[in-house]
Amino acid sequence: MPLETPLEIPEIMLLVASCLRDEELAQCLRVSRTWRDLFRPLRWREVRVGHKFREPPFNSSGDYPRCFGPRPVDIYHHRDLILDLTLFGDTAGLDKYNYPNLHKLAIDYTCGTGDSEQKVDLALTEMFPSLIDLRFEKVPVGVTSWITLFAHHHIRILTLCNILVNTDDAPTFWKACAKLENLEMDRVIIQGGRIPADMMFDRMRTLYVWEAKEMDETSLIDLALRCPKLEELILATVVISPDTPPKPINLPIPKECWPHLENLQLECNIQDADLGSILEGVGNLICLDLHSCTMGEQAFRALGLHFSTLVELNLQNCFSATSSMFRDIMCSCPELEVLKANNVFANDVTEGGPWVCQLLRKLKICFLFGSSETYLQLLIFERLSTLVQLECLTLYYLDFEYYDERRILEFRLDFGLSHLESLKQLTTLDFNYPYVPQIGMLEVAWMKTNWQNLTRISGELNDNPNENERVISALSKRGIYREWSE
Amino acid sequence: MKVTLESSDGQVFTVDKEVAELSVIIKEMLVIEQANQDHPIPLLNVGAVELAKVIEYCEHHRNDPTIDDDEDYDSRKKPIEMDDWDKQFTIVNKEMMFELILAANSMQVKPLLHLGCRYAADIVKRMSPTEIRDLFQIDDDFTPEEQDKIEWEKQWTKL
Repeated sequence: MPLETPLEIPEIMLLVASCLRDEELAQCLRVSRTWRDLFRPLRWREVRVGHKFREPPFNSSGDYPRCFGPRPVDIYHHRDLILDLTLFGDTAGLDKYNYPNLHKLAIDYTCGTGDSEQKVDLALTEMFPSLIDLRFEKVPVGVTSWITLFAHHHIRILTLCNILVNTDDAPTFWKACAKLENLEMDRVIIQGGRIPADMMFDRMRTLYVWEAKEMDETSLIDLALRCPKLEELILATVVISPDTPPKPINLPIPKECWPHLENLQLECNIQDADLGSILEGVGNLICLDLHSCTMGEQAFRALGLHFSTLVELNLQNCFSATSSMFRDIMCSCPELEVLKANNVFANDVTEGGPWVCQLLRKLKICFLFGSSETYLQLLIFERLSTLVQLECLTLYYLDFEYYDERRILEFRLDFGLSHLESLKQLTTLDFNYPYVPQIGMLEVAWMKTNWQNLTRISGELNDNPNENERVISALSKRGIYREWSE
Repeated sequence: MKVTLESSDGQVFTVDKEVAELSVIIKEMLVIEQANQDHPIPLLNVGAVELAKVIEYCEHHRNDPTIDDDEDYDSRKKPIEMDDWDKQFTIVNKEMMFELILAANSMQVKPLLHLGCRYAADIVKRMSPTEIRDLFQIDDDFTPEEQDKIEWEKQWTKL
């Protein structure tokens, strides 16, 4: 008697399919017509096509096919099954088919196209009624695309990469963005200066701007202020050098400008007072990344409002953040799981109450000791030993010349390393130093006994090349492998 | 509060209401028939052996947080945590597990359904198409052209 099987019920089959990897699904397709018909839609869910490349994409070895993906005729016959379509280059009118169930469309001209001057104009409304997610990369987009985007009912997510919006098209472009919930712009040039005065983006929950060109800090903040429902905000301008003085934001930053914001990343050159107003204006932050910002007294006071909720904090290149700020953070943020700090003076962080950041899983920090402060090494090890959830410890060093007299944390037993025996969760150790710690065979033996979960170590471990080799090979015999630093 | 359930072969089980409510179907029935709970709830598709096993599962998971949204179950994104108890629970033969999947499906006990589907996926993933056909007694009804087409499509799909 045949085994009575739940696999004849389509809903159950799809659940089973969701537990299988692609190559396992491929086997199922070959079982029978019934199985093929059940699993075939999964095969057509996501389609990537590239035709007519000038150069091979992705690698320069030349063996990549000039065309890939199904033939246009096959796409045409299966177009109702396609949910996610990526077209690389000029794909012979594939963007003119009607895909009734398409959710996500990406058009990518990075690899070159037959006629790069020709602008893409999508009649989105008619062609892709169900589209919610649209991505353009290096595509010359014409104004009619922005008009159809504006008229489209469902598109909520727009990603633009390497796109130029010229002065004439800019007002239409901003209007088209008004209904979006999610906008990501990477190396996008929007000409024509400021956004029209009455423009609001009431539905926007996520705004990412990377390497904005022709938009200064004030215009970026202006854009973000028009999105009152933001939950995630990333504003990153072109790389900041520490010598450029921060520019003032010529805008009033109102109180409670983003009450729902939980995730904020700023890589902008803005003043302490402006950063302070922004941090005062947001709800309870969970993730904050102020990579390369200026953190002064005002901004730090405002940061204090978020101490009880912060889970991830990155102040890695905040050159102006002081040791005592990091001490306050570690003594006041009970939810913190990830902290990226910079140079911290041992005598500042060993003062004060206990570190409350007991949930910390990842810590990136550089402890610095004055020449007469060897006794502080032990105190640092004692403090670190309380962070029992720690999985990833990176010790690094920002190379400032005026720290030359300073010493680093000596990761050795004779300086108190054995206190760290409580860090049972530790999996990764990263020494990102310009000069090398003196880790020897004694430390290796100790690590292998006390840190059973340790599997990855990176950086140089000993400045004697022979000793370094010995230490590394001893570690790898116990399954602790050396990797490159972050 | 207690609820009584009756299997297809007439056996009656009494369980706590919150345990029975792991079944979406029973939960909905209890809302509708709030006034009339003197009679056992009949489960026409579930035999006593399977029902006992389903109840055992629900008893153990009675305090789990409920996940209403099917999206959350997408195993590709995030596999459901399987604890030691679940692993013990799934040490049964295929026939029993398939009966349990059917029972979980008809009673809509979603975490058990997903657990069962994972078990079924584990069986299928180690098999060739021929082995799958043998196990489920499925005929190979492909024409050579259809078979060629499947192989041909493979060139460009991830499957």
